[in-house]
Amino acid sequence: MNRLSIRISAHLIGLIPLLWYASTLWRHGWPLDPVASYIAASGTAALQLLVASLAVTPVQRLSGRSALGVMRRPLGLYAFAYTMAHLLVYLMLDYAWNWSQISQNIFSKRHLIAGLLATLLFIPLALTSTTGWQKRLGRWWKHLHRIVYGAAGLAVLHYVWLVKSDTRIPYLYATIIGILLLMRLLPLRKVLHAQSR
Amino acid sequence: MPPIPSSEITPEALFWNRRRFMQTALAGAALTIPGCAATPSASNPTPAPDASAAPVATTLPAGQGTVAGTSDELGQPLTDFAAVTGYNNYYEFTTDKQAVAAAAAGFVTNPWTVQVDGLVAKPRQFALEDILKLGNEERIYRLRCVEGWSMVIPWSGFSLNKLLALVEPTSAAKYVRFETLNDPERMPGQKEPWYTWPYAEGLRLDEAMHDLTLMATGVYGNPLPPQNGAPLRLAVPWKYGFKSIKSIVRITLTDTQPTSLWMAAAPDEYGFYANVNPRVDHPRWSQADERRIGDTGRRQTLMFNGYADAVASLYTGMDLRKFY
Repeated sequence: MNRLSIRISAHLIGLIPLLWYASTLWRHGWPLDPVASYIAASGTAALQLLVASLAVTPVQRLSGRSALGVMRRPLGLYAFAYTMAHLLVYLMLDYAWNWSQISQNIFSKRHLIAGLLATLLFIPLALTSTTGWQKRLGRWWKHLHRIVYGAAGLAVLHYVWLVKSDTRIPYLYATIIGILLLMRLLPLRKVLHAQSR
Repeated sequence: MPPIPSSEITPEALFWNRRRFMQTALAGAALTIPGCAATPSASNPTPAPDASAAPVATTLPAGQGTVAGTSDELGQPLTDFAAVTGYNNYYEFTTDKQAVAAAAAGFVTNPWTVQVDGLVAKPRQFALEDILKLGNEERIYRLRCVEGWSMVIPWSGFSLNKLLALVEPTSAAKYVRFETLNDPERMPGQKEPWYTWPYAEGLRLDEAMHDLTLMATGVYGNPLPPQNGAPLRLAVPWKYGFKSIKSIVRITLTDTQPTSLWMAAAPDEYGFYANVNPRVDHPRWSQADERRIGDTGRRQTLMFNGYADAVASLYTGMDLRKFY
């Protein structure tokens, strides 16, 4: 695959949740509680794209296809876009910008505090995602962008604390993110190289 | 059991209001009374003659019957039929609120019997036909789900106290325990091992005897569809929706406080009383506000879901934080 087709693939992956949601509307009709539906769909999409962006480096290393690295930025930005959509639906449609209700609500629910923190952590990452900022920050850029694991942890916590009783799916995300983090920590490439020698 | 306050008894003038009369005459609608309207003229105004003379229910969606009321006693309009019958929790079928109707379609409720036993002088097994004879009044109730959403629903049915009167609770009876059908083949959600099936709920006897406590057998002018708890369910409007148990097969009078399915599943989150209370948060979220299905934005949740005048006296002297 050349770089262009890899880039296009990244955008297709990023749009899957949106297309999937459109097909759900097509198959099941408009949701009866649209606000709840938009919130759930955008939140799930944000988490899925976050996992996809975190998977790029491990997949790149395991496959030895360094060109796949160009997927990291678009996937991360799609995750950020879905996160913003999630927040916007909450503020605009669920609470109709009623700030007293919103602040009262957010600070009374631990899952909302975790979600808010995750969102706040995403903002500097999205802002510094450009090549210009990457150059300007130099080696600090990598350190800064390790924040994404903290944000991912908070996002999963947001989900775990939110669900009523069946925590299988949130824990599935937690497990996947944990494995992806472990793969970053372990010197996988060295292990693989040692084996192939 | 406490006497029913006179404010709770719907005045006969209201019962026989002109509008209902016209609708009955025109459409053969079932007998109806507005739910818990204490001040009939103010809370449920008789519409102008031209409004009530308008054609009644000519183009109704499939499954929707005629209803007399268009709003609750606070003037809040009925939630759409599509949402009332297409969006609810019924874990016996699925945990996806919008998939319940499809999952429950074809659930057979005939024959159906309800065992009423325990601390009663005359235990009895009721055939559904005999239960249906106890009444078919329309009651427009707000439903506040513990999850933070709400609806305004035109139920029909009769006060549970009519049924309890037939079995004559003994003086030892303090609580009423309700149980849903236990049949994992017909209710596949019961195969999920997370909960202690069958669904069970409970009320204190005085709560169960309260006139507002409705045994609902219909919604939106027709018999209950499966997803709404056919063939009969509770509607306890001042408590969170999960207290209003569906598809009841057994009612047991007891002297010990029943443990509900949700109390067993998460005792720190769901108590026995589960009265709607904006000041007592769920451990995981605020209960101060709610989204009325169909609305954008949220409305403040009312104490006892707006039925405080009728039911607050049941809880005099109780710490509602402790007895959540």
